Amino acid sequence: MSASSTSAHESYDVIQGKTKVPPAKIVGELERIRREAAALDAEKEALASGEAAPRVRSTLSNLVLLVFEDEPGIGKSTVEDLITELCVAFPSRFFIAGFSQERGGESDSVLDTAVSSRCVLTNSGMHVCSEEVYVSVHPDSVDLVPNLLLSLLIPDVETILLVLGDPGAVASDSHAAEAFTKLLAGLDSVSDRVEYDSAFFRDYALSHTRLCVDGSENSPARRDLNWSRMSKWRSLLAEQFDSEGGEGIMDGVSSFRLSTSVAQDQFSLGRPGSDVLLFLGWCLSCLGWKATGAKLHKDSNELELTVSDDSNEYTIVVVNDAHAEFSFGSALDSVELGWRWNGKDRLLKMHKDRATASMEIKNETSTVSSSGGAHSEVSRRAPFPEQTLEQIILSDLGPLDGAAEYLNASEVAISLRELIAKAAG
Amino acid sequence: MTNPFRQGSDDSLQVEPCVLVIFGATGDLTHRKLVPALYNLGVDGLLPANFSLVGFARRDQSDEKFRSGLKEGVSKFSRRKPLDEGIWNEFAEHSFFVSSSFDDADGYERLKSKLDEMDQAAGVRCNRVFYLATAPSFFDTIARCLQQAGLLDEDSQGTGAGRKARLIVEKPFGHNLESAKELNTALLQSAAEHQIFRIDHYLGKETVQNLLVFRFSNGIFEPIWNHKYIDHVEISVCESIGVGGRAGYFDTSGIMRDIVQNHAFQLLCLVAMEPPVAFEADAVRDEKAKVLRSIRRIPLDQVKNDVVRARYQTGSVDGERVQGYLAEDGVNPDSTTETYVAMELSLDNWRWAGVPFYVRAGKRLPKRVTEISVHFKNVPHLLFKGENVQSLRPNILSFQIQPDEGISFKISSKPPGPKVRVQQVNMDFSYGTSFGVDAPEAYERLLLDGMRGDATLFTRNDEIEEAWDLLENVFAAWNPDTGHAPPVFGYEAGSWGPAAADELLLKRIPQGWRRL
Repeated sequence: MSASSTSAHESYDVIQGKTKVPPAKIVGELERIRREAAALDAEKEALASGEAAPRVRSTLSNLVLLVFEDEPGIGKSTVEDLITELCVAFPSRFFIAGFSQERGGESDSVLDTAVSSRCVLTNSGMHVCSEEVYVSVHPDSVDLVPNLLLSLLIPDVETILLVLGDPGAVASDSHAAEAFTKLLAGLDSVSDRVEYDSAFFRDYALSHTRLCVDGSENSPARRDLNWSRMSKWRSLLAEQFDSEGGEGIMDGVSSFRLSTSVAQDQFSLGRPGSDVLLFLGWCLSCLGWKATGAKLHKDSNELELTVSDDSNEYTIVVVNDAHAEFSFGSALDSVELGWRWNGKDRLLKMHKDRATASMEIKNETSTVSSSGGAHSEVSRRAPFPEQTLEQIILSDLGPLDGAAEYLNASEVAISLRELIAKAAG
Repeated sequence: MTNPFRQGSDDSLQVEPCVLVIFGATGDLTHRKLVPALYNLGVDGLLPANFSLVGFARRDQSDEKFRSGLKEGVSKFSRRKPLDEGIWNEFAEHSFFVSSSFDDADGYERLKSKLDEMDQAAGVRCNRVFYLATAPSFFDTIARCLQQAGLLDEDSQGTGAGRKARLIVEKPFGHNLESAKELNTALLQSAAEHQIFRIDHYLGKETVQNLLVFRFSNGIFEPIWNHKYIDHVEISVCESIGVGGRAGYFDTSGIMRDIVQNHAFQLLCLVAMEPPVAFEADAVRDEKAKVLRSIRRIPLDQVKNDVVRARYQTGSVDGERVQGYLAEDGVNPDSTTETYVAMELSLDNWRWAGVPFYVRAGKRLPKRVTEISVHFKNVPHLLFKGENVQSLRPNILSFQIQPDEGISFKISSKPPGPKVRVQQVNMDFSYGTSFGVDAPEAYERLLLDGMRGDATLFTRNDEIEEAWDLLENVFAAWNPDTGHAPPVFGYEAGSWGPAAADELLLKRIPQGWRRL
């Protein structure tokens, strides 16, 4: 808190500054920051004519942010906003480890460290202060990081590693890839779980493989923030079948169609979007279906997947909006599912409307008989706000649920991506 | 007859006129700890009006030289900065130096004359406190010479009025049970037990004292302080430094003798002891001795299962690469000395039946921290199962002894939001932030108590012998001559120790060691 500035963050008044310190002095420096923060409080109390502004200093976790500095979607402000938000809602000790394929900057030293704190005046009138430790390491010395972290972690709280970026973007046979693998293995060893966001991933399978360096039973649980982002899709789809029930309901599936919005060049490489893959992975694992083939029609921007259960074969079509620009977040736009049940043809259309942050859900029913046909249509809207990265992270930081379902869905999504990659040539 | 002017006055910290004689006065302990502690007592107004300090060491130097050395130490190592020149000058004026080897009778005669002179100048018969800040090999010699010179004579056997003489002894108290008994016997030939104050500086730390206050001043904890509610207890004494300049000593000692036998076992005693009948020296020490007696001796053939020893290998600490123990200067390359130890102990008494106590201590661990954690049993029934709660973690009460003295209680809580979830949160009490003043250094309290004659925070001979006794089988099993001594495992410097230490706990405690 040597310097004061106001963050670009709109909601809170933030005071912060960064002090470069050698690793051995970090603990002392954090202590100094704490004392200065206390003095700030005392000053504030005096000004407020006796009304106290108590400092809240509970720590729920150690949050290690592994930030890909080369990632276009992650600017300095993304990390800043994220820490400010989490500092209030999920007080933690933050460790920010920058990873760059080509480490540049002012320093040639093996390990650069700095500490910082932001004191946020929350809406309730209370100050909440963060403790931040910044680590920048030379690729040859990434093995120093885990032990350094061990010495600085808040005792006996969960340590969560949050990977911000696309590990698949690191060139496979590069020195940087080797360093990344070593760094991740080291951070794994001090973490209880690893959170990442496959919305950053260009190649779901490759990036996922990069993240699972160990794969042993002892490696911490992994969780994709995209899984949380998909929760509304999953719950709304499940909700449509609550009233109809029955295990055999999906036997008569007549159509399954998804639309997505990813950049044309990505789709041509067989990358329909991580959330699309994860959603399909979830559907397939729920239904016990297996993907057996894939065809990519680059000219029509369509991907055709052949899936089967024990006795039937179905086709799932994924259509890309050719004019879409790649943007961070959810790419999945709509889901259409047609099936025949109880003598009726049913069609469910779920379409996300980004402009109104809502989901349009349409149920069509057609009956064909010797005496003629009947058609009915029911439509409704459900709120479907696009969640920010901070919101998604916050929703996932607490105790986890649905871990087994996620693992199944992710496994299928990886195999789907591999199948599609082959089809894309 | 009672002094009418003392009525209603708080004389609990009052120190009678006193001269403190430090043997080994030119050493590190004197400069880093003892004299800065005395200076701070002076700042707090806790030294008696007629307080004097006499340094006794082989080096030939003047009073002036002695004082300037002390001033340098205080300026550098006192918790209070900058130095208050006024207080220092007053302190320095009453500091003197006697040069002599520790076995020279003439030196003790000169010391006696000096002390008598000081008594005459002050007009009072000052109590005499002799602090042995020397290698243990000199304890016997110094005590004998003091006794022969009549310097340990008391006017009334330590009780009532008149001059008292006390001997403060630094650890280590022996190397094993046999040597500890020999040392005790030798000291008791020169001084009575009530005159001997065996110092374990951990007992002077605020949180250690607070452990007693916490246990016996809060009604809610003592009823659940037993095997019915407590699952296990962990005691960790961790250092990030290596052996440094102490390699020569450490390699003949090891962490078990250097830390566990004294500091860790004393902490265990304070957690496990029954309420003493009074907060008085012998009442407290009786209870501690009972705890040590109740600790089950590990059978020789069980040592390999219940005790893990290891030594650090190359690794990194504070972002810097460090060498392994065997490569340290002054360490025998064939050494089997342990720099890490973890052990499981059982107490055979009514209160603690079936509650394992786990003790670990090590060097070159990730951080310097000493902590006691009391792990309570989990709830009998998981009420929130199916509501996004797979399991609950038990409550943990932890006492952090150093570096940030404080107490923390871990409880489960529901995070805000519509879902029923359970998040562990800490209720923290920190000395630094709660009282807004620096806690005094352990030596301040212990020196004050030594001068006051209060032995509550000092260890008695029977405690020391019991502590050595319970390690006899461990040392016997570790003896390389047996041919089947358990291995000395390796661990990466900067890590939390060997995998074998984790396995020791995982046999009974699924969550493993508490992460510090």
